[in-house]
Amino acid sequence: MSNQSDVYLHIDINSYFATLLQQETPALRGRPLAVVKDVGRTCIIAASKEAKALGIRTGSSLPMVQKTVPQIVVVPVDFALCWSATSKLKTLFESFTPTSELFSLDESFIHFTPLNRLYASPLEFAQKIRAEIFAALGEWVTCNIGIARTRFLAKLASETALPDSITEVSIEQETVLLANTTCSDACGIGHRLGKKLAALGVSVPYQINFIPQADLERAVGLFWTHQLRLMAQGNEPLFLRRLSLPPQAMKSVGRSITGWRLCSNEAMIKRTLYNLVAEVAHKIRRMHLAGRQVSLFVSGGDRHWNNFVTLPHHIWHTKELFYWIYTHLYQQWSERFPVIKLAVRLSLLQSWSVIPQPLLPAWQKDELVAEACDEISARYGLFAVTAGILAGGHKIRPEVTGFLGDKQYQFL
Amino acid sequence: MYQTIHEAVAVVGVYNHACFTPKKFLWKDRVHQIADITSVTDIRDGQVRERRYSCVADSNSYRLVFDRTEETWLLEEVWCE
Repeated sequence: MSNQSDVYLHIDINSYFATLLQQETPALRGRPLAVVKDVGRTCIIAASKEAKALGIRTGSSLPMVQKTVPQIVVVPVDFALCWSATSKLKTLFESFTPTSELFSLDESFIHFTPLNRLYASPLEFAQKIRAEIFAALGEWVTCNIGIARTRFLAKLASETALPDSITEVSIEQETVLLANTTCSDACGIGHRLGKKLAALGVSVPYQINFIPQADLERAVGLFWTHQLRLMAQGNEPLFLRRLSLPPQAMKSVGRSITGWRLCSNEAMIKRTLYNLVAEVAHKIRRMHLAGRQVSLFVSGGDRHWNNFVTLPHHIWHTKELFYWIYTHLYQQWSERFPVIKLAVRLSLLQSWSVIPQPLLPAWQKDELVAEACDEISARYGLFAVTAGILAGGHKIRPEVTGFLGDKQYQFL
Repeated sequence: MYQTIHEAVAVVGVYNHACFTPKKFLWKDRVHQIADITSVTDIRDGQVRERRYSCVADSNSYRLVFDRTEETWLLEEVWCE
């Protein structure tokens, strides 16, 4: 529970992927911009401020948008640009306070209370942050800053404000904010939870206060009842409170890819699975982790299939992970259909320090090969050395995700 | 859309407070004066470190890439509508 005198800032860069591209390329500024994952893809993963003003949202279908907004400019995302900017933001926020909390690729929280002797007011501090972001990333990059008693309220304030604004929520204004913001704008209330709340007649977080305990528990379960009650009072749910705790070790590492069209080519699927496995294995090895639950998910059209295997021992070699993914899971898949999406995951991760290493000579040999590959990758980059199956041709390379679920790996 | 060029160029710039700022580059026997650096992107893969300067010269946008290990410059991409 937060202290009444606590003050948090939530900093959110406006339309991050699109704004950075507009900053980099002046010809794009002021124009409605749709960012897609790659040339030829049709799902809009980010939209510029100008595009949002025309009603274009993340997740929109590009062909549909092009019908209504023919002047839309389509640009592929530049992950290197975004990641570099996030690193600069992290460095900038840490120059203010070492306890700044990176929440996603373009969002951070800063606990202002310990800094209150350094600045006249949170508002003055927010203005300084805004000026520093401007200096670090460029004049086109704008941000919203929310100031409130808790992270939840600060985020709610910045999410619902107009672009390039600073919004301070006093204790007296908290109820107004909670009663005037739709549940879909509240951090933590996703689509499914929102639908359950809508069935109870709840459209804004403040209404949760008036739902009887038994009805709420029946609709969303005990855990979410407690979390929603906290949110309805403007307090922090668990996932925001956890930000102030030391980061937990990653529990699973996965990677997925969605293609342009349905694929039945077995060689291509095998190569793609190996590519995804190689990235997962590279990540867990860099973090000195090993896992023992291997999962595979495939989908195509409106069909999907998934399976997993829980092993009695931990694995951390590409070769072994690929064996379980391809030979054990994929090749056992009986009712085949053309696929467009493939996803692999290694879960139940543990640190190497608590796992005994196998003494089998064959395993020791594989470990020596893996260590040599790690050294080469650390020096010359990922896939500088890899199995023959990936030789030549396009390789799927690591990407950063908006919610930065793998920040522990990214900041190694 | 950026079009890939990937050609070596010569770059002249200034150092100020230990920070290099490109001012002009020579490409295809022509000097392009840099009017503005719009973005600087650090790219790292293993120990391969590159710094990409996105700049505006002659009203066009260019991406110049400096390999920080090899100390070489490439004109990587140019913006074309």
